[in-house]
Amino acid sequence: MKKILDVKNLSVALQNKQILKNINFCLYEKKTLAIIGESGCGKTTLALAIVKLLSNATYEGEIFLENEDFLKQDKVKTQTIYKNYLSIIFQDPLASLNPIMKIGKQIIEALKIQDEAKVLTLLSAVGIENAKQCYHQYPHEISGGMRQRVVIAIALAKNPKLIIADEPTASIDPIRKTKIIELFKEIQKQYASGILLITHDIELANNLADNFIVMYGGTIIEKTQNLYSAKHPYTILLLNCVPSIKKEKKLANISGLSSFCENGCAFADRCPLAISLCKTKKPPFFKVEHSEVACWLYNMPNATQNLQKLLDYAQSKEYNEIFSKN
Amino acid sequence: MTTNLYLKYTWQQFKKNKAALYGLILLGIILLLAAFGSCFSPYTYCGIDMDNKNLPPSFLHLFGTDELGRDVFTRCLFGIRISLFVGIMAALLDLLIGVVWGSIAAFFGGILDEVMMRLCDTFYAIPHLLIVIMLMIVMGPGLLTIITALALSGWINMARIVRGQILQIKNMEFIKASLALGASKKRIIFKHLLPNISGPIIATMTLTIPSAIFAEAFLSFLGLGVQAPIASLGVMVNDALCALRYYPWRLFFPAGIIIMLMLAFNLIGDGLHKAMDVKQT
Amino acid sequence: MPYFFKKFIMLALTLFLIITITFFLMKIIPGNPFSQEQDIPPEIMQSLYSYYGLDKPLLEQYWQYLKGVASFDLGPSLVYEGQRVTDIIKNCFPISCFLGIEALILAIFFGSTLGILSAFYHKKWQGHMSFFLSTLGISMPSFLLATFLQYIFSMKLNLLPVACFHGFEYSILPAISLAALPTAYITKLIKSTMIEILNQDFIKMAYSKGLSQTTIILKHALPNAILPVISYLGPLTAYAITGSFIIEKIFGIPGLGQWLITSVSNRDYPLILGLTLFFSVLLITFNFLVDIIYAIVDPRIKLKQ
Repeated sequence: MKKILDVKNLSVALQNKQILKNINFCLYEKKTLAIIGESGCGKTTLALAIVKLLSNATYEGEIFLENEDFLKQDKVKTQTIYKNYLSIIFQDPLASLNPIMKIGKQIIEALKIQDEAKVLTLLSAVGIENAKQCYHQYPHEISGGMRQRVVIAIALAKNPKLIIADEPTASIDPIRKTKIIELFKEIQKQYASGILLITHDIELANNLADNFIVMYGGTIIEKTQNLYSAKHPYTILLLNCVPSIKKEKKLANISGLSSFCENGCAFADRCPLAISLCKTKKPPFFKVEHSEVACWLYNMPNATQNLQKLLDYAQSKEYNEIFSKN
Repeated sequence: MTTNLYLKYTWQQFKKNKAALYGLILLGIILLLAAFGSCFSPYTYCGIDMDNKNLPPSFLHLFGTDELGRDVFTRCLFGIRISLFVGIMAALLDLLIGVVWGSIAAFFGGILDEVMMRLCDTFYAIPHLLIVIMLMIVMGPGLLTIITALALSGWINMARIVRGQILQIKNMEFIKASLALGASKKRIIFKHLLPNISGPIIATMTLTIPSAIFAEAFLSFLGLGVQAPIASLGVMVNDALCALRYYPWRLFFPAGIIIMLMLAFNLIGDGLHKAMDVKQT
Repeated sequence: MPYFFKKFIMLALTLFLIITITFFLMKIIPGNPFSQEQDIPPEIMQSLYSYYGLDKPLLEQYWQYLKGVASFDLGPSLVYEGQRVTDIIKNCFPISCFLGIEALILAIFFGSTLGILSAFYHKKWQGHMSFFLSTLGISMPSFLLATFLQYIFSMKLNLLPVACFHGFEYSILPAISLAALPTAYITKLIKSTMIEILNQDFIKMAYSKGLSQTTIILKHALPNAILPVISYLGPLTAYAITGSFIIEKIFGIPGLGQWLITSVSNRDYPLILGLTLFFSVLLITFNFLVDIIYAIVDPRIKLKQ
């Protein structure tokens, strides 16, 4: 199967602060890869880094788009790639649109041939009922949900091979959310594109993605094909937090921003199963069933038992109390 | 944030800005000169010496002499004092009127706020120079008149900023929390409101002072400045205009000092604005 | 269209207030226009007063004046016999206007270009240079710059004429002196706005569409950055009007500014009133136009409600 995106050992620093370290993953055509993690783990930075739209950044490593290193391309080649190969959907649809330019004009810019009819088709395809009216409106005149769909329409205008979607349904109500998920699936079928989905919405990721990557503190800690049989303690705890939104928020508060860690596992200070090794040496990836996990736990004999303990502990009263205190 | 922490933080940010530091140093030098410079000069600012009129700069007279033989350097030093005095007093008056007006409008809100701000807009639309000129004629020329006239044209900006800041803070949670806890209005004003609005106000004032100095020079240029023998820098520039072709130093030195004063204040004010902006992000 | 309407009412009210304030302020000023030169016997004084209607009760004078304003007649000058205020304005305003517009065009054009360039190079030495120059520009009073330019280019280098107004080249130095501060201000304004805008998501979006850098700057960034500059046009006109008085004095240009100053010292009431009114109307109308232009350019402001 064709590789759409191949990230090799990517490390990114912003103004001398290390944000991402040793990111490695591949995305194939017609597949969706979801990158999950809490706020502040570096997901959006990763998305912007892949498309080279990060300001004041220093890159290390390689980003291959169809066998050519994107990081090494000159301005002209980069512009061509933007025009034909990839699209990015930013987190905030209102901020992604030029406030004083009409919607139709903004979509037409992304097309290779300036065709108004194509724009109207696109708008209808993303589910905007009155496409002709929308064409002549300004971003602030339409609802948030419509803006989101306009941004998706812009992303699709060039039939991209790679779509990077950063929290595409963040500001959308649950009903519309389902429709958008369907839309993405259709697009994938139609254009054979690869979708890189970035989100902290576990449910969305589960619905859409074939493969999952879990990020923490600027590094990848787990790669898996089945989220609910994830192996890393963090992922397990995260998934068990999902039913209660309040607890998920507490988790995010503790880590804070830029929790990149030089020595040892980034999750060590919050992990209930952490041992002294975790705090000094960074764990490599261990293959366990369908996942690759960066956790010292899997180097030890009684891994499964510890896992079960963890699961029980996660659902216990004690755990809930500790995390509520923090 | 407590006032002390806030001041410390702002100062730290300010220090990083090289341009602002240069401005501070420049201002410091000018202030020192203004305060103590005349001690080192053997001349007085009004000592007429007709034998030595219109001399170019030399060791005896650092900036030359004017048409009455007075030492330009000494006159400049006194001129700085006058210009600074006028500028600072006008800015302080601006501050007083502006803060009172803006706070009342913001605090009480509603129709009073609307009316007060509409009045502001109306006064803003009248070319203030005209009011100033007429005031000068009604009150007669002099230091007090100039200061009043300048204050009258500048308070509107200060009032708007004060009002804006108070409105912003009035609606913040911590004020409501304090009220809920039973804090008296006085306590809220002094412990919460004032420290938070003092930042932008100080930054604005550092920019009001140069515009007051500018306005004073401007008025002097029109012949509406302080009267002889007291001379502000603006008056000196005006007097030197007719002799520009032959004795250019009489104009360039006071003019240069005006520019440096304004530059210093502008750099400092700019630095303060930047230092406080960072805090908000 | 409530937006226009509201603004228009404000305009009318403000104008009315100005006329009233200036009128009464003038009557407070001690002295009279006729006693400047020599002592005039009381009978002649009396007849002069009644000729010009100055002996009527205050309110009646006020009413007469309002009537006159409504029909664009601002009365006769008390000092310059035979000239009506409107004539003086008609003769001298075009020159001042020409100078003002020249300065405005210089400021907007150079300010915008320098602003965009500084935004791009703001971390490199060009950016620092631009910061220094623009701060210097706003610290330099226009009349001081005028004297420097006059000294260097006219008196010493003889490149441009010193004073008076007999052709286009006479307007170059005055226009530059007047334009310096607004140019510096606009440069700073555009620079900071551009930097802010260039960091926003929609610019990144524009890049991701594969648009060229020139297209992005000219079609996306600049139209957004120009908005604060449009708002600035109002205070800019006020500055240009008051600044022109002194510039005209320094360069001996026969514009409207010097008439105002002399009329005040002469206690020439109708002329003072007329000129004050004229400048105020100019300023307010211009501010009104600027508000309208801003509303047209920024679609986020609802013109129709």
